[in-house]
Amino acid sequence: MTALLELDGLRKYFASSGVLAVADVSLEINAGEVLALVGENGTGKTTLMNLLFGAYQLDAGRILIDGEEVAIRSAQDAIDHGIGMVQQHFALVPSFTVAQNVMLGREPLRAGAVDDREAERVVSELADRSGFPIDPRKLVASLPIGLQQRVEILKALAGDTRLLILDEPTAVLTPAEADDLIGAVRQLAALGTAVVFISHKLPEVLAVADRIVVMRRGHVVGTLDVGDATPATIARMMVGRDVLLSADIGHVEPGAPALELEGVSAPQLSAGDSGLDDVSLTVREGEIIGVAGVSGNGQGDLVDAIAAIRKIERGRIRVTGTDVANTDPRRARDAGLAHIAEDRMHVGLNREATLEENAIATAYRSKRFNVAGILKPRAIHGFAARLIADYIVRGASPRRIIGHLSGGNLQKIVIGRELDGEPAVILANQPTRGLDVGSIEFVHRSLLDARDRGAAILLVSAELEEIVSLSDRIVVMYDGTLAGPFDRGELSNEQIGTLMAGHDLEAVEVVA
Amino acid sequence: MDPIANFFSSEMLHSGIRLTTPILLGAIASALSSRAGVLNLAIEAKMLVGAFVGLVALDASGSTFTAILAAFLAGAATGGLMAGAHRLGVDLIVFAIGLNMLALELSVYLMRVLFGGTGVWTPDVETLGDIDIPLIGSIPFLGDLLSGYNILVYLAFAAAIAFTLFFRYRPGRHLLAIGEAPGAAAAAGIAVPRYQTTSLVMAGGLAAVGGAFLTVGELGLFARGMTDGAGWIAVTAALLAMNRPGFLIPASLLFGFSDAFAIRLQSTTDLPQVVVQLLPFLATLVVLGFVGYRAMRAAATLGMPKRPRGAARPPQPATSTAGT
Repeated sequence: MTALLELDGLRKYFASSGVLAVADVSLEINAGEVLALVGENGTGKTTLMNLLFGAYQLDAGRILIDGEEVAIRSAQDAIDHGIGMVQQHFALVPSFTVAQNVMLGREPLRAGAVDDREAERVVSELADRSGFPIDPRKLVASLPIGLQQRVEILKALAGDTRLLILDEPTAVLTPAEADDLIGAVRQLAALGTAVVFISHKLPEVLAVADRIVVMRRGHVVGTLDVGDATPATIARMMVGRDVLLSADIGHVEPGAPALELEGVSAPQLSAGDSGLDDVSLTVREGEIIGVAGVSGNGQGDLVDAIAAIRKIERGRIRVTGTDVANTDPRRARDAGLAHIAEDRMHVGLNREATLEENAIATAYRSKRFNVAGILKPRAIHGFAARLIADYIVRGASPRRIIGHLSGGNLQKIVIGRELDGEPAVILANQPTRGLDVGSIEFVHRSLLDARDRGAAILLVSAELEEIVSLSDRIVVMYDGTLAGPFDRGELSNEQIGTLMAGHDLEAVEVVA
Repeated sequence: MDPIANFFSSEMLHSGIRLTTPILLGAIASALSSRAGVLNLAIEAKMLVGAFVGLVALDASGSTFTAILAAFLAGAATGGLMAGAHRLGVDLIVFAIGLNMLALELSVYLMRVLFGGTGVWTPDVETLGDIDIPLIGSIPFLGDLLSGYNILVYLAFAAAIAFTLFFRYRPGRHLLAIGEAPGAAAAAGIAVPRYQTTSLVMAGGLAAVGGAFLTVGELGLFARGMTDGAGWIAVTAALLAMNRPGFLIPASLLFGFSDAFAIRLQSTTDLPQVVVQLLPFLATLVVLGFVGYRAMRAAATLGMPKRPRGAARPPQPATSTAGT
């Protein structure tokens, strides 16, 4: 049987950045099969799929569909060949309805005019048939992320699509949405569609895939049937060495209080977060306190209040003894605070600036980098170069714009900058979100090293695993209040989950 | 007649509609450009180009049709220039400022070199005639209001209506997508740069016809900077209409009538001329304040802080070409 799609010796070199993104990749995929493409960030998975989807042109190699070589020069060519792709960043028109978005570019017509009624009918039918039900009349701007993704998937399926490419589809989803998606993808495959599922979350890869293709630095390093794969084998292939999936973090005797919150209250600012209600917490030197909780229960407000990005109504926030509440980020930093921001793309970094500029963004006022207001280019260059070398920022050079770097490498710049100068207090907000196994391990290692030399670390994460494995003590956040702190190992994951849902431990235990 | 009724005579309404015409054409041009994802601040330049080229063509050919056509083509060429600059990645705001200055001074330079004299060029030409609509023209008041304009007045309103209908068709739908989410449009296989070029060319032509209305349609003379900010007012009118085609006519009428009102005040009261002439621009200022307030409220209802934090930008139609 000929494969639905065969890639033969694909190669792509980016002259502008000098990166050989795809070295020599051959693989095939059959109808009705889910192929998971896994690998670290910046390893060429997305580039490979963009070659297939016509966004980039091949330097070498052949693409065969049903055994015949095809030339794909644009997204339109790919669509014509029955290939649909859902990118990591959605491309939707917010003010259009679901139906208008799905049918964009192939609107049904009546008497020459666009027939939205017919579009709604077609989309509704497509949605039901493919297992992604949705109301076609809803405005896309009003939909939650999970449903917006569904619109993207329907768009990709709207042609006579035989091969669907999903590029890290679960990165933006809640766990429940991710489970729904995995179920729908399986159903789609059962109907005969081939699916390429790009991811680096190993449990979901094992749940969704028939076969797993592992890539490293532009090469395919192995193909596994899902029955033969375990998280450990995949992780080893991805990174090329053994990875600690749950770390033994050791123990440091905590010192004096470094970050103190007393009765901090703050009103809700945006619909996305809950504000803070009488939050008190002390983080001592040499310990990591993990903040568990479902996103949107005040974690963002907590971090912003400590970093003095937002105002609070009541209470005190002391960083190494200095009250920083309602001051400004610069003063908080002067008091010894480092802040690994949740949104590295827009808040943590400026992707349109060079690595040098980003590296000194929080320290350009210091005497290290300027004399009487004049920047010292050599010192800055040296610092940026050292940051690249120490943190192994792949594909970077000091004077280049950082926009092209992958998520893991961008985060390395943030970490390198924030941990420089041995800050007394480190705020780490979702430091590993969207990163691959190797990068996650690196971030965790960096945080643990910082703790070992005496830093007080407040770690906020939506990944419970991360909180549990990394924290010396844990607090749980719900609707702007804190429960805890609890010692490491004091609570089971179930108990933490109970607190995250806003129940009392006692109340639940009595019922159970 | 009592003084108030006398003040708001059908004559004033009639002049309000005439004064609306160039603003409306400019506003369509501005809205069309915005819908293609380009902030077009060179409407003033294109109107001036149309005013000048139209009159030169009228003087040379004696045909008002040729004059209007020439003005349209000259404006379209200016729009094409802008589209070319856009494709090359030029900052169109800076480019538009340059075009506005160039059109202002180049028209004066050419006027002096070609036709001599200074200040005002008054060729011996016949401007567009007024059209009396049979039947409707003889209805009292309403007849005065609807009939007796030159062809460009009717064309401008027809263009606004056509622009409204345009969005019911596929190219119109695609244009909406391009203005709001160029990436999504490109991903759907829509040729974004081609739409943008066509839109800028058409916008240039329309704005230039708006300029030609002043010279070929009304005055038969050319003076330095004679569009006198009409292009900027047109941009404001399009903003007030939120670039929605259905609102372009009322928004333009607001400015046209405030013009007519000012002229009327001049002839019926002793208010100083400078104060009266300020009126349309005051209206512009008020409208811009209103537009800003509305944008702020819209941002708030979308759950965003009024001043976006960090480098996050409020979602707005991208003003640059979508790459893929």
